[in-house]
Amino acid sequence: MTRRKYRSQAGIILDILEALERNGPLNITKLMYYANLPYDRLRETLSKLLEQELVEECDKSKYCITLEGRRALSKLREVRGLLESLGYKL
Amino acid sequence: MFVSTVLLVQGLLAIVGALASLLLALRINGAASAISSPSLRLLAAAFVVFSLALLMDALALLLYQPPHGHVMHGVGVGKRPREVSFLLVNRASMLAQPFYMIAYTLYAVSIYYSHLPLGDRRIYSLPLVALVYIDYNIAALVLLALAGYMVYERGSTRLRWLLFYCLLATSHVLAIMALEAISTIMLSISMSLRAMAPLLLLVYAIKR
Repeated sequence: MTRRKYRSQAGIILDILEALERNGPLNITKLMYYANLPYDRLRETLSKLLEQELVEECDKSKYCITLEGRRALSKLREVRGLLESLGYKL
Repeated sequence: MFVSTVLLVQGLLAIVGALASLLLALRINGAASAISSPSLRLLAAAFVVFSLALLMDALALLLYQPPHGHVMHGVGVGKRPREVSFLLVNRASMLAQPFYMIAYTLYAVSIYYSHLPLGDRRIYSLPLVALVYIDYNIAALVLLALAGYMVYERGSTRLRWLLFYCLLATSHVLAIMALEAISTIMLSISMSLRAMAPLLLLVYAIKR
């Protein structure tokens, strides 16, 4: 039996926020590369992050992390080890 | 006297375990609120319920009084049978069992839900857990096995997860054996293992 290698939703959000924090404003193609996500999955997650104001459109077709996003990222990093211990794939 | 001291220590350990579970729940809930994650909220709820179960186990251990009727009434008269004495210590623990089941169910559901695409509502198709009069420890083991399978299929299996999982599973296996052997000590060791499981995770929560 082969194991599916999907990341959890929290893991995907963590990767997107980390990519934006480390690399600054990114367009969707670069974000797909850094977050290792297909286009449709990224669009879906991005719209959720925009709605929650964790990410904003800062430049033409570019996204950047907000202050709220940085706070969320730091909270996710705090529990990363704990969640991995519980079997969450981050 | 020795048994009472051991039970007292085990009871205190269960309280510490319950507090550790609450701390973990608070941390996870903080992250869940930050990204509005329902699966992480379910996980935090699982730890709150787990903490309640541990508190009930702690009550069972701390309120236990060894039988002493035979001292006042002469040999054999009014002596509490071993089985009845065991049932008394196990009374609060029996109340705790459904809480363990709910906690493990929430854990399995949170792992299942955490890997679904956004907006997917297949979670509602999960069968409801039928609460019937059975040995809750066996049911808890089945639910733990389900959670373990979810982690194997969708999550990441690391050594610390394996330790956490083994502590919980061993504690329920010991509880089943304790019921067979009518052993109070075995039951309290079983409860202590459950209390130690969240303490193990707390190390990773503090490290970050």
